[in-house]
Amino acid sequence: MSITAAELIFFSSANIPADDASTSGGAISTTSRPELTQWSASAVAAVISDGADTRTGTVYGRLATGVADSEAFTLTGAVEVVLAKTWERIQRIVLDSTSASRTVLLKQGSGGTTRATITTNETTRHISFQNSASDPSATKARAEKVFGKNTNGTLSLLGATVTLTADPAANITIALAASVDDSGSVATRLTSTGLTYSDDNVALTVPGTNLAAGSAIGVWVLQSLGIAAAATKSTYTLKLAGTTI
Amino acid sequence: MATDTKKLLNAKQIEEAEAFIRAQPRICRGPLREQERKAVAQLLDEGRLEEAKAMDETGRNHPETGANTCGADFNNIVVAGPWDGRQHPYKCPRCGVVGKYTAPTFAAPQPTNEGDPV
Repeated sequence: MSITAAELIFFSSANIPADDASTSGGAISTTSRPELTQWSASAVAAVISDGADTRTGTVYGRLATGVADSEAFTLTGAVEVVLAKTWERIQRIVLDSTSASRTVLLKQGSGGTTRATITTNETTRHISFQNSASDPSATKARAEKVFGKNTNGTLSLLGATVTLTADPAANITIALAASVDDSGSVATRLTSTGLTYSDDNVALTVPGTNLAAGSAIGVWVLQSLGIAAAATKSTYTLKLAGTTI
Repeated sequence: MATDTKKLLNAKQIEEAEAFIRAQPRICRGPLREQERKAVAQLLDEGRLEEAKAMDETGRNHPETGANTCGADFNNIVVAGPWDGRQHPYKCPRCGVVGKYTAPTFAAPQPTNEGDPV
């Protein structure tokens, strides 16, 4: 059976910094994904599982005042838990443990639109470049790493390419790690990786051309903010593609 | 002012660095039509990521010219430019698409004291 699009998944790296001092990158983290659709308006958060589930977790984000904050919760199975704080944006949601059978949804408001889905055996959904701001006197380039993984059990993704398919704010470029399944990191997200980053007009071929079953390619994502750039809340998307038998 | 590390390398090292750059194939996809670019942005705002990705593909098809990508070797631009770790604008010589890229940097090996007694 061919590789399906759903089997090509972008996971996080072990170190997704929320500041400019922490390590960035490392090996793949298969419990975390950079998949979180941003709030369309300030709202409370609501979380719900799809069955018996009493796990705990925490939502991180910014309140309407702009202040960074967090809020802990305990799941009550398939009964929605509505949290108290009103969020202007969500930065990440982290469950304290995995479940082999339960899926958890993060919703914008009680009964609202689903903004993140934490699937089985995973704990975390997050945005990229949390708490990153421009500087009044210098450009700021921050690099964070994700992994595009071929989760098919047997088939290689042939002629594998990674593309930045959308970057409305035009401040994202990407580069691939020099080899698949690498664990490279940098001291902080402000540290240069020395790599060549290109924009959404360029398709990058995975080293070795094919991405073997179970393998992942590291993708460094570079956010470049100009001097005193205005605040934005934007998005970008990556695509891992290839052919399959 | 960032240093162009290409100027710190000798001919052999430049050759090796160019080989390192070209070991990662980078192919120009051609321009995204303006209409589709706006549509992609709208889809992203609505959280419709898969549709946005698909639109980004179809918006680069150019039936009037029979091409669905540009296909130019983007590494030619990287190799020809400075290796200073800075962001630079570029224009594809084949399709004319303009964009930006961040140049690589290479560390020059430390000089050895040839002739020193061993």
